[in-house]
Amino acid sequence: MNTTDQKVGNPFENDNARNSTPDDLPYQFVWTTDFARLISSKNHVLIGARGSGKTAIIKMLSHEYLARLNHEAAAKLIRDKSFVGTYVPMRLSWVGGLKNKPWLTEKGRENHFQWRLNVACCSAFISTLESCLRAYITGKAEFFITERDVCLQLSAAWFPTLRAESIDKLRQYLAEVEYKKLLDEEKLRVNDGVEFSKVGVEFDIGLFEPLKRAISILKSFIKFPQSTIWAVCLDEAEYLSVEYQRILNSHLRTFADGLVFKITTMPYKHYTLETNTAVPLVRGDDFDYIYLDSMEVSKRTFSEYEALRKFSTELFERRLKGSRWENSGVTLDMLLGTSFILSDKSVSQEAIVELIAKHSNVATLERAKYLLGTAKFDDEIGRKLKGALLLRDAASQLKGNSSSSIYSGVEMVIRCSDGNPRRFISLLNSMYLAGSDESGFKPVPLAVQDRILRHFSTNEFRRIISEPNHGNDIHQLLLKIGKFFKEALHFKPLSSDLILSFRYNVDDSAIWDVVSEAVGVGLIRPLVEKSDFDELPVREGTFRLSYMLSPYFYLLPRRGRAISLSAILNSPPPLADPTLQMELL
Amino acid sequence: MAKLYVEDISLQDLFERVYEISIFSCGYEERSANLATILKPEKIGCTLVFGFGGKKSETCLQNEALFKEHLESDVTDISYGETHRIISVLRAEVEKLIFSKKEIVKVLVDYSSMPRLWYSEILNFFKNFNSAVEFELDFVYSVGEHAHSDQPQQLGDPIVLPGCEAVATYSKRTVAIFGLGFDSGAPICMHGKIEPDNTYALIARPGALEDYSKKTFSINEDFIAESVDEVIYSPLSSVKQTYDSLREIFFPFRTSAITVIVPFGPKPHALAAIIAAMNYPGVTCLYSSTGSRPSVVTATSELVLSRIYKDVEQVAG
Repeated sequence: MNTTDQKVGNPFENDNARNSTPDDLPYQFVWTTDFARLISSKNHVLIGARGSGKTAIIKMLSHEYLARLNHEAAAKLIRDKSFVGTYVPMRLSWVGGLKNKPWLTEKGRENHFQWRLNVACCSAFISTLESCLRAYITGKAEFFITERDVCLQLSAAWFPTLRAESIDKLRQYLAEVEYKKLLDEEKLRVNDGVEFSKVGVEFDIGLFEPLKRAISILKSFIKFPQSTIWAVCLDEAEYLSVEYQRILNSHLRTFADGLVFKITTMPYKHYTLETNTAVPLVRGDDFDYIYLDSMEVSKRTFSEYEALRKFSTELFERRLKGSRWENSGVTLDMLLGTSFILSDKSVSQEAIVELIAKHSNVATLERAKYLLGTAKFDDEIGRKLKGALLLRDAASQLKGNSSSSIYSGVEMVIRCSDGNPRRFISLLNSMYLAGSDESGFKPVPLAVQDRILRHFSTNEFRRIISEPNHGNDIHQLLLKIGKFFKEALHFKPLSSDLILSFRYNVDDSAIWDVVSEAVGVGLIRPLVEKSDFDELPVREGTFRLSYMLSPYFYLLPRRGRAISLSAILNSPPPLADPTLQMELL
Repeated sequence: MAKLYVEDISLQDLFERVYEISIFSCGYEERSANLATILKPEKIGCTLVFGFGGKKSETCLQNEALFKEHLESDVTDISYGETHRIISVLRAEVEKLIFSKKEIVKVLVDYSSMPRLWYSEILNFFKNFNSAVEFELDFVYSVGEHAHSDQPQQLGDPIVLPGCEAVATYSKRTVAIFGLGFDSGAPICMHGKIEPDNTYALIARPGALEDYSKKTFSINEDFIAESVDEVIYSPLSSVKQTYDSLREIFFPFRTSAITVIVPFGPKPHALAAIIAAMNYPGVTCLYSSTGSRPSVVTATSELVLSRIYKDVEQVAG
C-alpha cells in the first residue's frame, strides 16, 4: 500500500504482517528492544504465539524492509552496510510438500529439503540483491550495468546453460528450474520408483552454499565491510518436522561461514536441540531464544498493564500516521472510553464493602470492615477485589437479551488483546468499522464494544477445534479451565485471592502436549519469571488463559492466584450435564 | 511437459465406452458401490478396488460384498500414510496392458468415495507415466446427499496433494482459493495458516441439492465476511467449467504470486483444483483432511462425468 492508498483506506484493515509490503510495514512497525537484540551476529530463535508479531519483526530485519524504515538506527545500519538480512518465508504451501513424500528414504528427504530451501533462499536473496543495488549503486547507467553483470555471474553459478541479464530473468529461470525439478521427481517416482533427480544439481551442493556463493558474487561488485552481518531470516519454522529442524540446527552450530540465522517459530516448536553432528546445540553459546510474548517492555519498571498500554498506544498511533486521521487528534481513550471494571476511577470504600457483603465470604467481609477507612483497605482489599466485584455484580444483573457493557473501554480492549498485535489490530478494525463514518472517528458505544469483544472471544474459542492434531483436546481443556474459573468468580463466595491461573503439576505427557499446543496458538500464556523472560516453562510453571478468552467465560483479565491443574481436571463436572437431561416430549 | 485437458461428457459417452481398467474405492459411504452396480461388468475391463485399511464398518463390509458379487473383485487396502502404494499397483496393471499393444487405454475412475489424496495420486500417475500409449480417463462422481452439521471438526496435518506442488520462487504474494463445504471452521483455520494476500471462495451452485449452495454460504458466512475478497460460483456438475473458473481467478497472478487452492468443497471441484495445480507451476493444491466422519451419504442418482487426457506441450509460465 503506498502513502496515497493509506490515506483513503482503513488504517486497521491489514492485521497480518505477512500481507504487509515494503511500503506499508515500515510505517507501522514499532521498534522494540527485542528487535534491537536481533541485530547482532548471534544466532536467534524468535519464539512467539500466533499473531505476536514474529513475521513483522523478521521481515523488518531484511535489507529490503530495513532500508525503508524511518528510524535513525536503521538508517545507520544501511548506510554502514553493517547488517544485510534476507527474509525467507517457509510457507505451508511449499513446506506442506515436504510431508507428502513418505516413499522417500531419509537421505532422499534430506536432499529434497536441502534443494528446496536452497532455491527458496536464492529466490529471497534476489530481493536483497535488488535492495542493495538500489541502496549502494548511484546513477541509472551504473545501476543497470551492475545489475546485468551481477545477474550474469549469478546465473552462471545457478544455471550454467542460461544467461540472465536482469533480476526479472533471474527470477524467471529460478522458477523454471524449480518446476522442472518437481516434475522430474514425480516422473522418476512414477516410472522407475526411484528418487534423486539430477535436475538443478547446482542447488544440490550443501545447504546454504548457493546463497553463500551469491553473497560472495554480490560482494565482488559492492564493497562491504569485513564485519557485515549476513543474516538468513527463516520465518515459520514450526511447519518443519524434527528432522528438518535438526538439519537447520547443524548450521546454527557451525556458524555457516559468516551467515547468521534468525529463525521464528511458535512456543515449544523448536522441537530439538540435536544436530547432525554428535554435539547438540548449546543455548547461550550457539544461539539464544527471544520470547516475544513476554512483553519485553515489562521487563524493567512497568507493570503488565502499563507495558501493554504503551505498546498498544504506539501501535495505534503508527497506524494512524500517514492515514487521513493522522492529524485528527483521535486517541484510543476518545475512541473507546473508560472501562468501569478496570479503570483506576475510584469507587468508595463503602460501596466496595457493600459489594463484598453481597458476593464475598465471611472472612473477607470481616477483614474489609476491620480495614474500612484506612489506607490498608485500598492495598489489601480494594485493588485486589474491585474489578472482580464490579464484574460479578454487573454480570449477575444481566436479564434476558439486555445489552451489556462489561467488556468495553480502553483498558478492557487493551487487556483482552493481550499484547498480541494481530488481535489488537483486528479489534481496532472492527471498532473502526463500527465507529467511523465520512466525517471521522466516532466514539464506539460501550455496548457495541462489548458485542465485538464477546464475538471475538467466542470465535477464538470455538475455532480452535479445527486446529490440526490437537484442536479438540485444546478446546476441551480450555473449556474445563474456563468453566472452573468462571464458577470460582461468579458462583462461589469471593475471597481476596482470585483464582485465575493454574500451576502445572500433572505427570501426563498427553496433557502437557495439549497445554504446550495451546500456548503455541496463544490461548494459554505462561507466566514467565522476571529473572528470565526468554525461558519457557516445561512441564512445570504457572499459566493463565489468554485474556482474549475472558469475555467468553465472563472472567476478569487478570492473573489472580494460581491453583493446581490437577485440582481443575479432577473437579466434578457441572450438575446440569446436558446429556442427562430428559426429553420433554 | 504434459498438460491435462478436461471436458464434460454425457451418460451416453460413459455407457458406450469399453474400459481397459476401472478403479473404484470401497468405503463407509453407501454411494461407493453405486456406479459398480450401474455399469455392465463386461464393459469395465480389469478392476482395481481400493479400500481403507483399519477397522471396517458394517456398510463398508456390505460394499465389499457388492464389489465381490458384481465385479468379482477383491479390495486392495490402502493404509493411512501409504497412498503412494497406489502408484505401484497401477504401474503393475498398466504395464500388462502395454504389452497388449493398445494405442489408447481407457480408464474409468469412480472417485465418489475416494479421499482427495487417492484420486490426486491416480491422476499424477497417468500424467507422468512414460509410454507411447495414450490414456483417456473418465472420472465419475456419484452425487451424494449428506447428513451434515456445521460443527467444526479437527483437521489433519495439511499437505500438498501428490503432483500438485508449486514453485516457491513466486514467494512475494499468496493468493488462496477456498472451495467451501459444510465445515465452517476448516477454511478459517487454513486461512490462518496460509495467510494469503488475496482470498477467493468457490461454492458449488447448483449444488448436490437445491438448497446446498445457500447452506454452504450461510455456514461459511463469518469466513466470507472476514476474509474473502470475492465468492465465485461454479456448478457441481461441471469439472470443466470449474477448472475454467479457477483459471480465471489465478491467471492474472500466475507469474507474480503463488496460488494455493484448498478444496474443502465437493469432489468435482477438488478434481478441477488438482488439474489446475498439475498444469500450472505457480498453483498448488493443499489439503487438510476433516477426518472420516461416518455419516450417511446416499447417492442421489446424479452422476458428474468428466474426461481427462494429456497432451505434451510446453506449459506457459
